Amino acid sequence: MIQLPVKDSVGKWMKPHLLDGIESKRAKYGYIFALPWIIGLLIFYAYPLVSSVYYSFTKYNVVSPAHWVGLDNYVQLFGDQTFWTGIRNTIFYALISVPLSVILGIFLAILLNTSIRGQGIFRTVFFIPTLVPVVATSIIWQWLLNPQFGLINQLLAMVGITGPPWLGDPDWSKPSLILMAQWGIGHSIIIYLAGLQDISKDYSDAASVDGASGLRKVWSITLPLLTPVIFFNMVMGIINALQVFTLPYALTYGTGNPANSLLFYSMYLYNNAFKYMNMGYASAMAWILFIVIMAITLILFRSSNRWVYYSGDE
Amino acid sequence: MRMNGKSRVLSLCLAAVLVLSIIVLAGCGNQQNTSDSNTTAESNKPEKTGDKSNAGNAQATKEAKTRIVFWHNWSTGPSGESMDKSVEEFNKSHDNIVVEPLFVATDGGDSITSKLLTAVAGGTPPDAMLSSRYGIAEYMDALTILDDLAERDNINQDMFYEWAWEEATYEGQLLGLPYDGTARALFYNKDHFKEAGLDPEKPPMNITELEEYAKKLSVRDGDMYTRFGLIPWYGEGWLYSWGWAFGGEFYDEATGKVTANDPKIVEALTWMTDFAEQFGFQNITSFTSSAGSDAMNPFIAGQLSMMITGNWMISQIDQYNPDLNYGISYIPTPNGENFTTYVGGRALIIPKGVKNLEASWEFVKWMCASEEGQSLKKITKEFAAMPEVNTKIYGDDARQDIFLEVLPNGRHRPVILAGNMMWDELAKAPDLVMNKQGTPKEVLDGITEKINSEIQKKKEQMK
Repeated sequence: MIQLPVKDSVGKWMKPHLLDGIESKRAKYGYIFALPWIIGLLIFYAYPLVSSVYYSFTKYNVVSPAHWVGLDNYVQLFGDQTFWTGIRNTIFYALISVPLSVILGIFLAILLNTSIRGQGIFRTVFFIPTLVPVVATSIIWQWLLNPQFGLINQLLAMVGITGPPWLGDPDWSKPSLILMAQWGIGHSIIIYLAGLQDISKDYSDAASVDGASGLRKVWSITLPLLTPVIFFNMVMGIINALQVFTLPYALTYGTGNPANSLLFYSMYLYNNAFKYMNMGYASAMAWILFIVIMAITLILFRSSNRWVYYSGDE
Repeated sequence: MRMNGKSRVLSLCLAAVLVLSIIVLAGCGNQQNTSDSNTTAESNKPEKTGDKSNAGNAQATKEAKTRIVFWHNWSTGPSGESMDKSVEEFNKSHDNIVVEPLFVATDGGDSITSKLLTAVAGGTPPDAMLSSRYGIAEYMDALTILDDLAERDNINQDMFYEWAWEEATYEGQLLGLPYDGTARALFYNKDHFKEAGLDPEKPPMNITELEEYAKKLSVRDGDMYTRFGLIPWYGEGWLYSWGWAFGGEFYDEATGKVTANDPKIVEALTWMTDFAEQFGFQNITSFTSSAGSDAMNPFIAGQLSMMITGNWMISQIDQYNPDLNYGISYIPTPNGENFTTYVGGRALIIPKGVKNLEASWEFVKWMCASEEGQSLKKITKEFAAMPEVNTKIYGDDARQDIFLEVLPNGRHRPVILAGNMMWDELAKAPDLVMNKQGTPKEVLDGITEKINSEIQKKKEQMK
């Protein structure tokens, strides 16, 4: 494809030594202006991050000094049933919700990308749920999914289906949660839409000339060219799914009911850190989560050159 | 012309905003000064304290006042009112201290919030805080131990119920002063009793009767229950409530070990889950997960005939359905005697590192160990931690009789270093068994082991 000439053209009408002076001056101001942010990042992110490595090897309750215990926290974690429950629930959630949101997101984005009347309105409607605070979402859905008086079960009853108890039943609670999470899919739709609009019309025009059907064009042109965006949304989706916290915490007041089926990894981590006074244990949990997320992301990146096509590659 | 008018309005608005912000800024500056020095002359802040205290403190205006911040998590309803009233009364009767109440929501349980930890670690703790007693032991590193102050001012366990004082004490150290008590009993709907042909003046006394009545009182419409006689774990039917009713012990003082797998407690849990089987667990779940709160509470709304709940329900019924014809009785026990009740409640604690310990102590003492402070518990219909106050405020309220009778043998949750975790785990136990995650024995064995190893861990840490 065409090489963008920006850098070259700037260099052309500036003499090299002059450029150095201006650039370094500019760089200085750049750093100065970025300094408040850099300081904030170091103090509020880097410092806690590094210290949590240390605390993960200690017994620590925030108000008293930490005691070094070596690998104790990690060893204990592997024998902790609740820890494994958290992992199972979280992996289940991620395995279902991430692919679902990818498929649903692309599907909706393609629909919203067709030029029809009221396109803007439809796009807005699908984005609005993401503006609702998570706690409010959880309350709305608790009402919708209420087994006896909920709108959803009443609608199901109209077509002769006895609705499930949704959040009241351990088998249905995670699917219910996944359903709720899909409601806030607007962010990824926006990104998919941007990706779709980035695909040149030329390809599909050419395919139309060759007599390709709409479905064929989506499969052979749109999807392959959308893979970078899919990849991005997938990575972000997995990271977010593995850290799922606010929605189930607000729904269950931190208990993970029914029968621990909504007890996610981050919730147990939070309870340990702030409720059970086990900050060291919680730090160890955080680092295990970090390593797991890192590993999955790396695997995804490795696999990406097999299925992600960047326009510009041959 | 029109534009002119508009811009005139605009400039007026801007001017107003400017003036306002200057006033606000000045006000802020003032406040900052006062909170920095922690004491201030009353004349500096005429707008902050209400009219009443102004009048009462007319002669004290020149004296320095100590401001203390009091965290609580009661903002609405009778409990909110009781906090406002308490602070108001205290400020009125104390010329040298001003208490500023601050609503701080709890997270997770209703005991100590994580905000306290961060506030103490950051060196800016509140001066006093209201907190459920069961969880404070594991936070003791963040608290001021009060033994010396209590001894100096002759405050001792004789003034309080046994459950109140003991639940505020860990291994002989006084973690806070007990403030109040919440007790549980069986509430039953007398009209439903008449309908079902039961004597409304003879509530069930033993478990067999309870079960029998529950069946008679339930009403079905096809497959669905429109009314349940009883749902053992609904409301305040915690495993603690039933465990003690069945004669179980959750903790062994001698060994310092949790005994949640006591055979009597296993029996209680088995009974609860068998009950679920009889009525169909699905039926009950769909009923309970649809149930509302406040005015829609199924007992208040007449969808539930019997319910274990606390004495604060009296004030809710008064508010939402004063015509409800109900009675209050003991929580039934297997043999129909040895009635007891599970008593919860709060303590007032003083965090570590407060700037003005004497002022904090003065307030905590007034709230918990004075008749004036304790009498205000009347607002929430819960109990004072001091027995003599209860006889005074509830002596002529027949609905409180049953509670007052069982209160002296009330049972409190064990004071251990893993109180929050034990609460969470036990609250889940019935749910786990009913969802077939294990037998009652297996689940309780698991919990016992988990809590004991947690306590062990914490103890090693404290050494």
